Amino acid sequence: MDFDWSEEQRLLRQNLGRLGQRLNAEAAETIAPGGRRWKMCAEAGILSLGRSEPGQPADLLTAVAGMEALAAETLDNGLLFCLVGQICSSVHPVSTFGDSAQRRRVLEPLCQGELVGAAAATEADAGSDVAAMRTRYRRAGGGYTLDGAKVFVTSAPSAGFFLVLARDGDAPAGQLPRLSYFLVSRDTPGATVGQTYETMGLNSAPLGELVLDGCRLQEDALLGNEGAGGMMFQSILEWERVLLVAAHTGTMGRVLQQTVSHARRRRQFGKPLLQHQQVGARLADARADLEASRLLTYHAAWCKRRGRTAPLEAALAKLFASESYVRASLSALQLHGAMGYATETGIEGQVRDALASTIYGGTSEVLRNLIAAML
Amino acid sequence: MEIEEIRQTVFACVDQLLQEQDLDEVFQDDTPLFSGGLLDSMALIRLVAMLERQLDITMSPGQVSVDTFDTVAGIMGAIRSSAS
Repeated sequence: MDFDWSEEQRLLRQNLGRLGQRLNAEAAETIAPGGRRWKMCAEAGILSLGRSEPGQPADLLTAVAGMEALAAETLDNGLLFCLVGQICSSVHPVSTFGDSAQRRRVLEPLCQGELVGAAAATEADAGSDVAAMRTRYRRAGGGYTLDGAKVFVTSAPSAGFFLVLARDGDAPAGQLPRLSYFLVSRDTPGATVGQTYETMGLNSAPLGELVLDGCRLQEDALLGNEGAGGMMFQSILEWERVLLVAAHTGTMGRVLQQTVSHARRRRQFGKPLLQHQQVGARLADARADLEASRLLTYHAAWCKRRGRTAPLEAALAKLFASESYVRASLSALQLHGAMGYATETGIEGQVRDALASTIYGGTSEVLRNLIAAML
Repeated sequence: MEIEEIRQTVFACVDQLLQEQDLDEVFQDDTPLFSGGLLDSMALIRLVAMLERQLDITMSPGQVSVDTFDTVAGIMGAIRSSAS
């Protein structure tokens, strides 16, 4: 593996770093199509990072390079979360698995920021355990009918279409579920965006519920082959896990830099905080965590080259980097003392945002189970 | 790689997954692996990753399902499609 970025990747990182700085000057807003900050991201090309030519895999390593650079500058973790969702759960699957008509219909508006997509997989009783999924599809009149409910759908309140994962309702019981993906437009009769969720962090990222009640779809709503939804879900998850932690490593770098500057500036008992052994040791651990997270993330993205499956590498990166991210955010709060606890520095908000990272994209507990199963 | 060599690799990968589950099952080209309850969805993901590395191929997720991968014969068909 070559650790040097290519000229194209270096330029991308430079541009997205500058974009991050410009985003900080804009007023905070909930993510929505046509929103100013969403449009700025689209214009910088970030929403196209999951896009590929037909039959070609998209380049996850380049997406990682760009996302890390953006996250190193922008202060809005909710925006980063929505961007990763749009790239991994909408642009990447439509681009990779969609037919030419589906690509024509939604890919360009997605990449231009005119359309927000939302992946609807999680259910009240089925998170990472897709075998427990209850949302069902049935073939009906040359198309399909969907019934079920999806929860904690990122961007649901703003989404123009949903990528819905459902099981074959006509398959014999007791077998592994045959899963398929469907593109469901928000205005399809029988599809309703229900409850929205208030959360402790990631405030610019709207979350909601999607209810499917006799939702009738044409045959062309099927994404990819019928029954191939399980591996497509895995592909989406691997992209999402790796790109999420690319954002976390960028943010971790920024938070660490901020904390080191504080520890150099602030003096206690006649010397800078950094020269107090406990402080220095904590920051040294944070730096080691950051470098290890980076390497795991780059390696996982590299393993995904040529569109290959990398379940172990993606799980290792997500587990280690998200837990490092929480530790780094808590260290920043602790080492800033009372100022860290005060809302005006933004560090307590950073902690609230980071806490979600060991939950979304597969909880740490689920990831440890996965890794243990692959030992 | 010759067809027979690929087939042996597929057999070895499936056998490894069965052994890890303490299953000493004898299986043939047409033994239903997933619909027969021998392997689960996690094994499907691992099987794809193992085959990609050992055969130096890329399986498109759209070609992989519990239907296409249910038997060694089906897996061989999916590998042929990925190479074409």
